[in-house]
Amino acid sequence: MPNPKRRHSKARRDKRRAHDALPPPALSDCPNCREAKQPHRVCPHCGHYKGRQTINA
Amino acid sequence: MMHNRAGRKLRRTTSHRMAMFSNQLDSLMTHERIQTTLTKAKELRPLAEKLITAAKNDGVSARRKVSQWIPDRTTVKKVFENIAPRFVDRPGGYTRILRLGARKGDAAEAAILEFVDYRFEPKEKGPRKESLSDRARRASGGRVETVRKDKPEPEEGGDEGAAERKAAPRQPKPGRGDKAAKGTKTAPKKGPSRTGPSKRGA
Ligand SMILES: [Zn+2]
Repeated sequence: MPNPKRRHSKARRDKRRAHDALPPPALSDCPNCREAKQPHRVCPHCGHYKGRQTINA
Repeated sequence: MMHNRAGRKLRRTTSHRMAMFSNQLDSLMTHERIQTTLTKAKELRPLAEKLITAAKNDGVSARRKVSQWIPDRTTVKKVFENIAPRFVDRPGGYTRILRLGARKGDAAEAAILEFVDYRFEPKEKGPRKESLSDRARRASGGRVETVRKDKPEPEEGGDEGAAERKAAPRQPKPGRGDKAAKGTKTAPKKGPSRTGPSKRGA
């Protein structure tokens, strides 16, 4: 099996990973409590979704 | 495109998967709302809807069909006598899925699967219920200690006892031969105890 000829430096490894970052999640304002929440999901702060309370937050 | 995504295996064998759905259907019909992962909810939803549609026409055939998925007889009864009648006028779409976001632990997208007529009642914030650890803390006067039956209670002021404790600070279950030695050196279950069990309920 072919093997690496040279060790890669930390800089080289980190440069390779420069583009690997995950984008931050999209956030919108909760219409009920104004906290930032993910769209299309129950608000984790107040438990509201589509104008009614759905869970205990 | 989101085509052809149904029929996920969920990393289970067929029987494992069907057993899980069976349990989840039972829970859904009993509690009217269940929390699971988004993927499982999406797989479960058509199964649940088909059972309810089948239950709209009561009869031996329909009862057997529903019983194939729902192991519990009282739950089957509830599906026919409570759930299906509620949806007679609704042509499908008896359930909804609420997304809850990534859960702690494995970051899986959590979801709630519930009947569309589910009425959520917010929990009132009452005084906190006393947990088991609270009780232990109260009983031991502020200190939490594991209650061990096989632990001999320390003798008062006895040098022998102290020496023995030093030699073996944390003793596992007394093995064979241990018992005789212990009986002579320390007096178990006598004197005011400093540890938990006897003070319990005081
Ligand atoms: Zn909110």
